[in-house]
Amino acid sequence: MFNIREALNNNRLNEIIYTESILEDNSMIGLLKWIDEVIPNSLRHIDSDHTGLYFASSDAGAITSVEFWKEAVEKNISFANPRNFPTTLSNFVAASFATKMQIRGPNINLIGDIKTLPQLFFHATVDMKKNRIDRAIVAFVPSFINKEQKSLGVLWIEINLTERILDGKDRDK
Amino acid sequence: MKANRIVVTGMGVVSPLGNSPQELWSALKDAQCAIKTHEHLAQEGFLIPKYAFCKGEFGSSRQRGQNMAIYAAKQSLLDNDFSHKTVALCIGTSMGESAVFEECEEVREEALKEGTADVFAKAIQKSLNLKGSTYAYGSACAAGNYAIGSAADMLRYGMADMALAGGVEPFSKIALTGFIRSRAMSPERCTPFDKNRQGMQIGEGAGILCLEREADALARGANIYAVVGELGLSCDAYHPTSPQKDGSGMAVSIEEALRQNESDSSDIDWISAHGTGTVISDLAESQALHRVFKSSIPPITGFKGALGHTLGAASAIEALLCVMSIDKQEILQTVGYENLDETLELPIVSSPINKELNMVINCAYGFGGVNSCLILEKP
Repeated sequence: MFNIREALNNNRLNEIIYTESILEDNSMIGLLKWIDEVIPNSLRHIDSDHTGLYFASSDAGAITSVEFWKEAVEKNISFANPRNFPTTLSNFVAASFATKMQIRGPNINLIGDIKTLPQLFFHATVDMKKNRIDRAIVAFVPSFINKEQKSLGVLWIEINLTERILDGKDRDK
Repeated sequence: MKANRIVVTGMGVVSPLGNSPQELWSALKDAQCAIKTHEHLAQEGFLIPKYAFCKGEFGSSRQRGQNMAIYAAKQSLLDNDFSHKTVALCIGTSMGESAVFEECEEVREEALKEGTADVFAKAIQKSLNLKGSTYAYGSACAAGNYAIGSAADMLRYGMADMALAGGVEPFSKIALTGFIRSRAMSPERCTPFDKNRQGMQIGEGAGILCLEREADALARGANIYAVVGELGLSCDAYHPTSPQKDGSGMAVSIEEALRQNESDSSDIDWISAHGTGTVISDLAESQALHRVFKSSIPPITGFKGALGHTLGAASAIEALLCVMSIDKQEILQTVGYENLDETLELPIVSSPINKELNMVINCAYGFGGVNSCLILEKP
């Protein structure tokens, strides 16, 4: 396991904010609604260019692919709805997060279960060590597929560096 | 020499123009184009029934991508004794094993897991009996670059002994339909950066690089083809499908790769461009290159006019072609490019050139505004 505090040398780490939420709507739409309602407050004063998003989910793009194709075949593929096509890509949720929150740094999207979390921290830490970012958002959303599960858990962790790094001097070297 | 350099010691490819690096190189050098009109696609109702299918048989549609991935992985490991090594598997894709979703009658977790993006890395691991972790990078059409750059970082930090990294994308009816309905597809040829370009065409494939720390590769006397430099990343955070029109996000990814690699834009000898052949994307990419390189843009090649856009596999196959270019000190042409577009003002390579290549970049961008630039260097 990658140790963030050790990797960043204690003095560079400013804060870690940890959030767990339970969404009542177990769907991608529910997730994006949650971003509207909850996330903007915690991300005020964001430095868009120097924030990275490190996201993982078990199956982003799977259900939407099935739904897109089912509807396309029913309608005739010549009339498939092009607006739904981007939702079939496995990075649609991560890209939507970034667009809603204006995160313009690295956008890493892994497909896998909770065991991918250390890899997300690894990427976030490496990007901090390279002075690519000052802030990392690490998020994990489990399966969208299990419809019997009425709610959806979201794990949301923000890692922020000290103001010494935030002033950008190190990065400009 | 930089400490902890990561090098390419093996390559494997399944592509519409050949299933070995040398076969692919020869076909590209002959300016062949793999994109064909297919009667069976027309009969199924695809308005633009064009596609670049891979040569050879790769089993049932539900495991096509996995079989392509295994084929390319085996090729990349040739002559390498990996039995006592931990091998990180970093594989990118856009859609996953799309046929599983297309044939799905009922949404069940177990059924859909056969198609999600992580199946490719897991299939390689199982088939080759590799020890190590598997990672699936779902970064749309830039996924190959993400996977290779990530694998290089993992090796730099000692998280594995070696890595297999690249991208895989099997034929997808969903993708073909989506791109046709998004009006991104050309009804004629795909002609990247050409004045008369009308859009992209898509294809399938798999490209995998075997990566090791340079010291390990030298110790076992391996053939070193190229050095993997830094990967620059950014996100437009702008639109689900369109890039920032001024190319600013793309430019940041190139600038970041150069900064992290402690290199200058003048160090770059050649650019393997994203070059989809769509009016908007090629224009944005040209703006990005002008921002970074000003009036000294190095020669540019785009491979999608020959291979089609192989989505999640594209940047991996193109990275492999960068490695081959460095190894051969030769750059290939942009198949389909004929007419200079004065609005782009780009030095597009229109015939093969022998050129000293010390450092090149592989640019790849994708839906969701993901931008990437991978540096590759002469050993």
